[in-house]
Amino acid sequence: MRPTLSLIRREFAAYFLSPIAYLVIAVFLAVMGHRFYLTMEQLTASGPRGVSYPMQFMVSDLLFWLVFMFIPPLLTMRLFAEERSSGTLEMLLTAPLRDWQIVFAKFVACFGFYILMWLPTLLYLPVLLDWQWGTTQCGIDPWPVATTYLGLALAGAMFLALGILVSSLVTSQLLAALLAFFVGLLFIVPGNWRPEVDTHSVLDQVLFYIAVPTHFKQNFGRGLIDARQLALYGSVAILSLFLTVRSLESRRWR
Amino acid sequence: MAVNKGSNAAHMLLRLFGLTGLFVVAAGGLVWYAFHGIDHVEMMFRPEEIVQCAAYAVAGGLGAFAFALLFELPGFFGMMSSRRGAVGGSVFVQIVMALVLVGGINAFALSHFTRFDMTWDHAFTLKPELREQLANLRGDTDIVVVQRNLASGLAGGGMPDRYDIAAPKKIIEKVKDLAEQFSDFGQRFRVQVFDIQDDDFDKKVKALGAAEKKATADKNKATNRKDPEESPLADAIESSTENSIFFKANGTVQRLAFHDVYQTDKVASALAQNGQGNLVLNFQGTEPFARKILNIEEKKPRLALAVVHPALSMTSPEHEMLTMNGAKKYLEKQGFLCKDILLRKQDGDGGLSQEAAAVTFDENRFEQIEESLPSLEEHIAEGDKTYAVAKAQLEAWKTQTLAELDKTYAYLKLPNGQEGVATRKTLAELDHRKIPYKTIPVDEDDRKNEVLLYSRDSAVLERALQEYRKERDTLVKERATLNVDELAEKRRIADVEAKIKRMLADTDLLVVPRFTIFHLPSGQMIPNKVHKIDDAQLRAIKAFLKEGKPVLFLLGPTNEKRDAPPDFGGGGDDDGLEPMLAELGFRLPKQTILYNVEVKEFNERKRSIGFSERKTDVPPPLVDWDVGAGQVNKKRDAGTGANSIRVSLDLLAKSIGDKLMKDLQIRHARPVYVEADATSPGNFDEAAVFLMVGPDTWNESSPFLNEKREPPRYTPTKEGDKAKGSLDEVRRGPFPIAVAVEKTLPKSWFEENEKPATARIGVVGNGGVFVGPTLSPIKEKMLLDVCNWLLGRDDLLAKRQDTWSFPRVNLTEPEKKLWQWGTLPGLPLAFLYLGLFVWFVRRLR
Repeated sequence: MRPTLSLIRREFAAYFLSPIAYLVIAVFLAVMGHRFYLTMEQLTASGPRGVSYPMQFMVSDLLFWLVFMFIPPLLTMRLFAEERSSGTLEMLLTAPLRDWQIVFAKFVACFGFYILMWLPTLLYLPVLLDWQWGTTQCGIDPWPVATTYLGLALAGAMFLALGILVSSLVTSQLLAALLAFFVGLLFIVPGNWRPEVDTHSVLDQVLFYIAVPTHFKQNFGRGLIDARQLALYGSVAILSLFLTVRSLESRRWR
Repeated sequence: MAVNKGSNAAHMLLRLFGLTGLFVVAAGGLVWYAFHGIDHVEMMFRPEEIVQCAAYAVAGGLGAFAFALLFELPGFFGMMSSRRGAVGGSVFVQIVMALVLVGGINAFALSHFTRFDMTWDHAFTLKPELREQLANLRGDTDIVVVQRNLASGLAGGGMPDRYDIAAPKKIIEKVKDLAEQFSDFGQRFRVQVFDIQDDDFDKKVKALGAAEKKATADKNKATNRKDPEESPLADAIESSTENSIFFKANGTVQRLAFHDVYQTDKVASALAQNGQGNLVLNFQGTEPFARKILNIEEKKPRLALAVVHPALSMTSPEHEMLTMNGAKKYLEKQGFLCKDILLRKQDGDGGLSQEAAAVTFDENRFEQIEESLPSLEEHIAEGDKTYAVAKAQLEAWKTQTLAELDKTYAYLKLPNGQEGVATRKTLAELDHRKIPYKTIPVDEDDRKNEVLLYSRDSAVLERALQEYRKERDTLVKERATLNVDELAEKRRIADVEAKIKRMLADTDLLVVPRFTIFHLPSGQMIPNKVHKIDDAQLRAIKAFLKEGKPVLFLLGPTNEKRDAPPDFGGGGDDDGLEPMLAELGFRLPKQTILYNVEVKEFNERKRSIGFSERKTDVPPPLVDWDVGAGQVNKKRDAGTGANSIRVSLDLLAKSIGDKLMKDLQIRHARPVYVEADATSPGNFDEAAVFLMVGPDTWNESSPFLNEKREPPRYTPTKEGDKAKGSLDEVRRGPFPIAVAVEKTLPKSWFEENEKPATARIGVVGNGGVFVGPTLSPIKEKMLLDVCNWLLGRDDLLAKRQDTWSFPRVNLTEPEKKLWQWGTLPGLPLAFLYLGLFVWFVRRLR
């Protein structure tokens, strides 16, 4: 277990050694800050304007998903591709670690950084929840906020796992990022592009099933947890990590 | 596919071939998807040809791919049989199994899922008892949300305000959410959303209609029946004019308007957040929605309107000032079945007779036609004869020689100077009466004149005959369309009471209107005696009430001018209807409510003698008033609790705003009270009231221009007058003008061993409130609310339940600025700073 923890620590620390990570966080927070500003405007508006679910409003915008799509590839592109291109992967594979431990450690470190990236957005909560400091109570239902963060964590895990898988298959970081971006598109595009299909057809159900932005608009953003989304995010993440392990393993017998 | 480093160019070409095959499959599939099911397209090829080509391309592509794969198989098996290959093969199998497992999990999850509603108020969860009821439902239910993007059916005219614009979007979203909750029950509830703004809206409705017809055809085939292939749901969607939700199960369609589920409270919206405003919606709960599903096969309520003349009926679209056709049209759209009961016989010429009757509109018309047809036939027969004579004479004058004509005619000159052509028969008569005359033979000038004369007479007669025949044919045709199945049987019953009871047997709600005053300043009115019903008819109404069935009385003021208008029929004295209501505790003083603003119109009338052009706008009645309003005796508690109809109308008033409420203007109403307590003559039961007129009114006993053409003036009851302190006291408003209450009927109406029944009774102090070929939206809603309440369908009335509004956060301007600048650009800059810091530190190292 200790080597795994060491590897997690090493991988996690590596993010902070590069100014790129800070730049990514800064850009991400700039976008989130803008969304927060718009949400705050709606929450303090006069007349018949407003938002029903502040967190839903924040994360259901196309701009948010455009930025979100770049984050997992940027965080995962270097994980294996860099090791492979610099030749350190062989060293890592000879370390007293099993392949799954390597994949697990890299995933945990990457996921940790992803969660860390979201942590500053907790500063928005007093406004998003209409937190009353005097009574220590919320004026706005906190559950939609909680479910949105849960959804973001799970969806993030899925996209990161996909990114790790792609990174394990190629040598170039840029190619890894591009491929991860396009794989991610499969789950994002149906949320913003819906062909004219019968609202009750199987195709419509499948499109909804994989459309991550729609999941946030319809469910997580409004305080709902849908078992379908848990199944999708969980199964795809586990499958991707499993395939990553197999991908690493293949170097031994190819 | 195993990588073979030693593959030659041919092998590479084969791989390219297989890849191209895959590409062709994808392209062919796309073309097939785009063109299949399309009937016609402006292209060189027909769609079916394109689809066929696409299918060939897919088949060819698959063939090419399979062919290429065939050449890969030896290499694949070789690799699998090697040591390294065996490991790879095992991994391959693991991967395939993992993919199948993940695919299976997701395929299962697609149709078997649960949603956990974590919200505070469980906004997306149906109540457990409702879920249980829905779970027990048999058969499939279609729920179609039709979005027409109008504010609501009550949008009416006028400029929409910002709430009218903002509310529909939110309401549509909320209704969709509500409908979606039912889809969680699985395939039994098929929820669809049709938006008029979608390009394929019409296509979707047509497809739905076709599917409905096909379902009926399939069912007919399976059960060997011949049910008509109809598309009730698609038809209902096509004819809907507002945002609606349709429910269909077992061939029955029910509709719910969006505003039955959510209503905008404009007053609360404007006042929210210390006057800053918000959007406040009144949510009627899931009950109206669920009720439509659970009671989808509910029997249509039957309403009967008892009037004396067809012009006052619901069926006749003529007589704009009298008909209640608009009410019928609206109620039928809301699922009611309406019929008229005509209480007085009509003469053949359409006038009212004194004879009491009990016929439907059709039966009355049938009898009228039956009465008119014989005289019409007589006219035609007589006309035929006259026409034949005129035609024969014309023919004679045209064709006979002068010598022949001379045998029949002569030119006659009488001593008094009269002259002209006469027949020999006339001359013989003159001879007989010994009247002297001179004759000369007829000549060509006479022929010319007579031909002209007879031609003109024949033409006139022919035209008249044509008109008679046309009228007869129209009447015969109309007679054939009338529903008079029960007339023959009714004719055998002499007892009017029995006839009415028979007609009321299948009626759920009876409406008795008495439209009396149209326009006071000009004195246009229908005298009270016209509306008079006889005792047998009154007994039938009583019997209807005794069954516990509801009655709505629309009774206009009974004040009459001394110079009463001409007799339209009816007896002299009042009938027993109002005494019966008095027995039930309703007080209807012989007063008319006048608005202060009406005095101006009276004054103009006084000066102008003729017609006044002024159209006086009176304020709409009130649905929101303070407790004790209108009570004469302010000291006593007049009952608490708000009338359900009043609550519903109040919510509606707050939803549609003042402009549309103005359409509810009611002029010339009378006060209507439900006595609160016999010991307190100055009090009425406020909980029974659902409409009041405002304080700028008074109750006038003589609401006409007097003999000196002076307008009525407000003269309060003086101290010492016996009316002082009672409800009859002449005073300023408010006055209740509409009440609805559930009453236990008097014991005296029943046998000793019978338990007195209770019945819902509504009384509105104006007979013309629902008159017109169309009703304003607010009047439509009021009529519907009143009918629904009287029928015990209280759950269809809007209630004060949960309200929804946008969540708000109170931040001062400095706080807002801090949040704004702190989060953007504050936070991102902080991380940029950290990044630079790390970079510098690393550089320094």
